[in-house]
Amino acid sequence: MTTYFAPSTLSEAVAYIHENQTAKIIAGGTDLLVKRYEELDSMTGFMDISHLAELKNIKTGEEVQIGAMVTHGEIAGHPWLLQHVPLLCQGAAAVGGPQIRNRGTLGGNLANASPAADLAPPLIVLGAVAELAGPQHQVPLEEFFSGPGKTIMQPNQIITGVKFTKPAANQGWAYLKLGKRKAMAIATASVAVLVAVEDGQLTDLRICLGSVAPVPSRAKKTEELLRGQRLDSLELAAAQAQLQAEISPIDDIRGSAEYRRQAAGPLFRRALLQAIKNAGVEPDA
Amino acid sequence: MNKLPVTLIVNGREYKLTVDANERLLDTLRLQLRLTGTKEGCGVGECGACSVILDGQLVNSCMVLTAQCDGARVETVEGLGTATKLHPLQQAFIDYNAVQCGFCTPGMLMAAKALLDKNPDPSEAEIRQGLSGVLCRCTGYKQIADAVKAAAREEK
Repeated sequence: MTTYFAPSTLSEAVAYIHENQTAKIIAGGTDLLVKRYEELDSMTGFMDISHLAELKNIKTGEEVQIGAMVTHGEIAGHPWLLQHVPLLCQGAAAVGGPQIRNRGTLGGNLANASPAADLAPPLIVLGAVAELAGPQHQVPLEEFFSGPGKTIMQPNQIITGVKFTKPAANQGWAYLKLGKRKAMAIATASVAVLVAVEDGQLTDLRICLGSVAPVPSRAKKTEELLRGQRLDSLELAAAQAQLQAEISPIDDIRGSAEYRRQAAGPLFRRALLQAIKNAGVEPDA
Repeated sequence: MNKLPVTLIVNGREYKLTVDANERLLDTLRLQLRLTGTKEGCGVGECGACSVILDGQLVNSCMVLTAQCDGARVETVEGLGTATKLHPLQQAFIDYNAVQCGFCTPGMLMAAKALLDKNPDPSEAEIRQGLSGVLCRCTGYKQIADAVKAAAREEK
């Protein structure tokens, strides 16, 4: 017998999932009802958290907090986020099509743990922390994913949102996604870059790639290579080669490992130059 | 199976229904209400043939559980116009030959309606983005985009 339960508060949800760990948590349903399409008749039950008002807030300011039930469409069109964190809006706008963005949620995108999740690379370079309920826990998003479709969450935990610090004025950003077409494509490779620029120098940067490793991953050696370099003498070819060396793509329906490795290089290079430009500097390269 | 009472307002009419916990909105519309204008194409949110407007938002009805929609307003293609009084979008689809096999048409019409409800004067790019979640495998998209543009002019 398939059951359906829609809690009206987070504490009710936490209590229910603790007692019913085989129930599937559903929000927008845009991943769950695809994965479980063949099993719809044999599902034990659903807990629908899409109506939990306390997970639908976007808190703006120096510290930004976004509830797990905020949809991709709401992020992509949020006036404050568009002005101060356009990187995240771009990630949200890259998800599926309008129908998917109207239903799919931030919490779902992260909990589903696809290596191609469009919100993960932008959030990881923003230094986002995932907030979990029941047992309460906060974890850097970078450490949240443990494999394709896997996270460090316990069966009785619910992701309630993410928080991160608003990017500073000297920071620039870019999110680029390579897919078969603009709409409805799952990324073949994706890259988010966040840079900090001071006096013509790349003082800091974070790079995160999607779809080229089992989980969305930082390219830390490439970051290290570029950190501190002068913008007029960036070692772009070396950085690109380093990036291609440190990713671990696989062959799948969307592309071969070799193609991904080839494509990730220029994709990253473009993202880096765009990020520097967005920080208010014209790169020489 | 766990039966649940759900109230839906479909095309302005209220229905008190009993649904299964795992019943998709698409199946409730087609099998319980016999509103077969909404089509099932892929069943996994890729093609958009099942698009309906749920509380003002375009959604794939194959990816929504009816149990999630208690009290919601649903608009389907049956609510657009009648055979004698077509909606401007429907007339424009005829005028611009935006229909061939017709299977994607209900989804295209609802995507276009959701777009024009929010943005009565969309650019070509906005029209293409608004329709981007619905696949057409025969007409080609130009006629459809042209029809939406014409309907927007008509409604102004």
